[in-house]
Amino acid sequence: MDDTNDTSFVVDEVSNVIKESIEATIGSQSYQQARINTWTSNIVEAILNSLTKLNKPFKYIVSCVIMQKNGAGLHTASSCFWDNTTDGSCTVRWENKSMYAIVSVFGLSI
Amino acid sequence: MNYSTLDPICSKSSHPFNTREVKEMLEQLIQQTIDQQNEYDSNKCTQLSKELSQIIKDAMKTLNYERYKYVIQVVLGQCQNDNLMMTCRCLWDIQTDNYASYVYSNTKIFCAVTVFGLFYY
Repeated sequence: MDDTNDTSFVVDEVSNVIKESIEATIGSQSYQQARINTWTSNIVEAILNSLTKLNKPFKYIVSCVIMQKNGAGLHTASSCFWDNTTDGSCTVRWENKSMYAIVSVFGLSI
Repeated sequence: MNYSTLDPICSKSSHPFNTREVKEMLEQLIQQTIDQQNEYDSNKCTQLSKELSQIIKDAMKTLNYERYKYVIQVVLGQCQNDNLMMTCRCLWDIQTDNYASYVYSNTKIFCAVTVFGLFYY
């Protein structure tokens, strides 16, 4: 019986969860200053709910950055002190005509 | 006989994650590293964001939190209008896990660093 899927972080599965949440929240929208607070909250909460439904023994950290396309530069980096065999992360970079969204999910096994 | 690994007596850390201590450390490190940057340079900032996350990870190890895993996230960008929002949510144990964050900005560059500490049972 293969139980590695139950106890390790599966990047592809999480990546799909992230993409679906982003598309559902801002897929068809243009950048609006007044709404980005709601959008970022909705994206992270939707992702966290979907991850919880996977029923894996993990603690999760979900972070979302939405930035208007203005020509400004942005860099994100992360470093982690954890167990490489069980823990993992997934970062998705998404864009449309008016904005960028960068979503990172970190999963740490308990 | 099996003892639950989530026994409440064993699961509490004797040295829990201290937000204030970590935030002070972050302020010091970021001001030392970024204060010298007067201009936004794309290549330098790529390198700088990676270096900063490594430096902070190494500094977290010196704080000696026993049985804690860390995730350090650095967001570094060019200051150009108010056009960025960053949000975070976590699914964790509120009795043992916590985070510390610090945002630095000058006229050219902003830097937001978040350190998450998660207890390993």
